[in-house]
Formats: sequence, structure tokens, C-alpha cells
Amino acid sequence: MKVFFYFILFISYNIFSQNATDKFILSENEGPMFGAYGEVHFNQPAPFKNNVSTLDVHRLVWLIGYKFNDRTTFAGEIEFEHVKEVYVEQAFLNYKINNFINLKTGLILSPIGIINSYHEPVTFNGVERPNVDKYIIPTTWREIGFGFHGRLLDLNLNYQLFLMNGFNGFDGEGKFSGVNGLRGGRQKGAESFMSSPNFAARIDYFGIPNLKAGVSGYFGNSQSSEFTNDSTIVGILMISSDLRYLKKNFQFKCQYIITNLSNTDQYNLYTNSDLGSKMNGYYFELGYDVLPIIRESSTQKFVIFSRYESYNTHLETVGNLVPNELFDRNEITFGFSWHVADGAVFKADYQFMDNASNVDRSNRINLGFGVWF
Amino acid sequence: MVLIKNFLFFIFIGHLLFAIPSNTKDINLDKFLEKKIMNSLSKVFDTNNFQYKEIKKNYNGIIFEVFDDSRPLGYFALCRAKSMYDVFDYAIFFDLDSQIKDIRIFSYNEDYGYEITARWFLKQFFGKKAGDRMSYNYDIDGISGATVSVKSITNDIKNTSKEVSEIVIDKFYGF
Repeated sequence: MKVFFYFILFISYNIFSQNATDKFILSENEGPMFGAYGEVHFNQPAPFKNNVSTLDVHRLVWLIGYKFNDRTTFAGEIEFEHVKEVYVEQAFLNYKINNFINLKTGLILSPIGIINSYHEPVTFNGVERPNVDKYIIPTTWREIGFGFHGRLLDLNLNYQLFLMNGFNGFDGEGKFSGVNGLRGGRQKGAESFMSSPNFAARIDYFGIPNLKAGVSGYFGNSQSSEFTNDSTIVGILMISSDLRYLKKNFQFKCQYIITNLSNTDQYNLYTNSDLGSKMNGYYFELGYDVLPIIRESSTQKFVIFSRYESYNTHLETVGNLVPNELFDRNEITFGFSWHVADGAVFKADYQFMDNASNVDRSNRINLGFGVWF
Repeated sequence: MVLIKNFLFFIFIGHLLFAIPSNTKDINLDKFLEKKIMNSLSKVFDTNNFQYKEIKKNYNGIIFEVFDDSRPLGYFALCRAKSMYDVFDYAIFFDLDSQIKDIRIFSYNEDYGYEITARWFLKQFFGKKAGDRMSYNYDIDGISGATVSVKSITNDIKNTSKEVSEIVIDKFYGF
């Protein structure tokens, strides 16, 4: 009897909630939103017999959002990285002031480059994210801040302007290094400290058919717990531009980024580090979905891609520091992304890794899957 | 008492299950939206002397008939479609033959897929009518990171076109 009661309730709820005419008359509050993305990786460095492979639940991220009303939205992302590390990837409150301006505040992504903003595994080719977006743009790069963003639909422009906390360059010890650039200085909004805010901006233009072009910039000083000590602070200026083209089966992506760092001479002496004074990175990627050749009505995608990337964290150095050729790296990646459903992809690729020195880097085979919903 | 408790619990669960994905909100014809619609109407129908009235409300949106003093001019539909985690409002304008003349997206809140608001994307639908093929990735180009929005607006436009063409058939050939 009770089961029957529940069944009737279930059915009636279903019918009423899906009723066509209800669409435009139901409540303001649309309830909480849930989503997730995740990726699991297998990496095998070559030569195979001398290297162990690694298997990793690289990241699993839960999105929780809430739309309070038409203007006010909260979004939070809780990330489990390598299973055992827990982070908050984003946590911001967005208020739509009018159709052109939104106020966003909280833990926000720095809008530099493609991957830092669009890093869900189904949106990029390759098991691992491009290394330009690891060593030059330290993806996933987020700090607490606030700013304005919006869309000028008639002009096909999207803009983002944020004042946000910067990298931790010194908190008793130096956080920047020659090999990883600024990556070690990310504070990620975890009890972060600030001695001077940084400025980040991005503009995207999407008025040309099938093309999206973006430029972004970032400048400010690194944060230091000894903020009166100049030798612990580095000045940062980043400029990046990127293109994305997608037409039928064909896709093309490229990105260029240059980072200028000032005061690295004093910083390196004081912190005993080897930070370069200029870093750059770029990549080109071509992809082609071959499934439509075999079957036009396929709902899946099988994208064969190749990417060339080059990045140098020691493009220039100052003082006594000699540029380290090991840090002048490049990679060629071949592989495929098999999208078996919207939001679910199997990936495989082979990476030829090289650098400017005589010391070899290991090539790698990568396998993995990614989901986003 | 237990039954009421269970009932409330069920309603709560029901909300979680069904309220999240449904696009349930009154389209608010604020001044901005109304101005945009009026502008588009005068451009599409090439006159400033027009009126419109609601003729059908359905799952895709609200369909309006547009006319001037002496004759019907065409139709437009005010629709709401799903993006990845949100919804967006837009209008489709049809001529008397139910052919799509114009589409305008009024606001798009999400960071993913806003390229669908661009003219070049929407133009792909112009001149099409119910029965014409509007397949994602063949007739209609996909957008990287915006599969949900592109598929959602494509399906929505297909369904609305069908409804408008049924209205036209009913009006001119029906009994």
C-alpha cells in the first residue's frame, strides 16, 4: 500500500514537474546545481623496461552551484587531486549588475591562456594538459580577488578584469625556481597572504566564423612575508594570446605567452634560487575528427591530433645566472581523443620530449579517460 | 504524521530529481528585452507599425503572431534553452511561410559556449524551416566546449520551427 502511495506520488510529481506549460510559470529558485569533472591517467616513460609506469586518479572535481535569483549565482568546485590532496578550485559569488557587467568575487581563476579557464578534460586533446599551461601559466591558477566581467554581445566581445592576490614569492624561503617558474608560488586561496594585489585581464573576440581569439595580461608584484625587503619581491608581467578554430571535422588551437620578471637578480641572491628573468612558451595543435568519414550520422567523435609545444623558463637570465639549457624544453605529441558520448572521452597519446641540452628527456606513452557533466 | 513526513521528504527528493534539469522560469519581459525584441521586429518585418499577440505557449516557449493594421506579417517565438549549468533566453523570427528570418540571443550568463550568441553562428539557421535538416556538426557547426548549448539551441529551434509551421498549415489550410 505504502509502495503504491509512493509510486502514485512519484508519477504525479513527474507529470506535474515536466508539464509543458509549467515551464514559464514555475518558481524563481532553480535549486542547487551539481556537476563534476575528472580524469584518470596512466603514464609510461620510455624506455619501457627501465621505467615504471604511474597510475593516478589525477583529479576529480565536484561542482556545486546555486542560483539565488536571475542575478545572483554561487559556484564552488571541490577538487581531489591525486586522490589524497583536497583543494577548493573555485568558490565565487557572481552578481549580474546589468546585461553587460557582472561582479565576481571569491576564489577565481586567473583568466590567462586557454587551459587555465577551460581545463575540463573533454575540452582539450591529450591525456595531460599542455606543459606550456603548466610551467609558464601555472594551471590551475586561482587566487582570491574580485572584478568585473561581461559580454558585449553586439560587438562579439567577452571581457574579464580582476584585481587578485598574487604569487607567494617568499614566506621565509623563496618559492620560485628556474625549472618550475612561478608554479611553486600559487597560494590557491588557502590561508593566503597579500602584500600587494595583482591585476589580470582578458578579452575574447568571437565575431569571426568558427574562430575565437583571446588576449590576456597579468601584472603586479609577488607577495612577500618580508614586504619591506625588496630582495624577496619579483615584478611580474605576463602577456598571452591564443586562437581556437573549429570547423566541421577540423580543429586548430595555438597559444603564445611571454613572462617578464624583474628584480630576479636580487631575488636569486637572497633566496638562493635560479629564477629566469624572461620565460616564454607556445604551442600549435591540429586535430581532425575522422568518424564522419566512416559514418556521417555518428554521435561520437574520434579526433586524431598532433601538438608541438616549446617553452623555456630560462629564456633570459640576469646577473651571474647562466641560462640552463635543460629548461629550454619542447614536445611533440601525437594521439587521439575518442569522445564516446558528450562529456566522456578516452584518450591516448605518445609524447616525444626534448630540450636544448645534450641530456635526454624520456618520451612517454599516456592513456586515460576524462568526464565532464 | 509519519505519512506527512514521508510526503514532505518525497517532495524534497522529487525536487532534487526533477527541478534541477528543468528550465522552469517565467521569462521576464524587462525593458531591455522588450526593446531588443521591438528593434528586431522592426528590422525583420521592415516596419515600425506592428503589433503582436500570444497565440501559443508550449514547452519550447511562447509563440507570437505579428501583424500590422491590415495583414499578418509573421511570427516570433520567445524561447528558453539549456546551457551547461544554466539557461538562456532568445527569440526566433519567422516569416508567413514559417521560414526563419532572424534569431537573437538576449543574454547568456555562462562562461562556456557564449560563441553561440555570435551572428555567424545564428546565421546558419536563417532561411531554414521545419523539415529542413539542422544537424549538429553537419549543417550547424559545433563550438569547442559548448556541445550542450549548441545541441540544445539546435533542437529547440527545430521543435519551434515545427510548431510554427503547424500553426501556418492550420491557419491557411486547416478547417
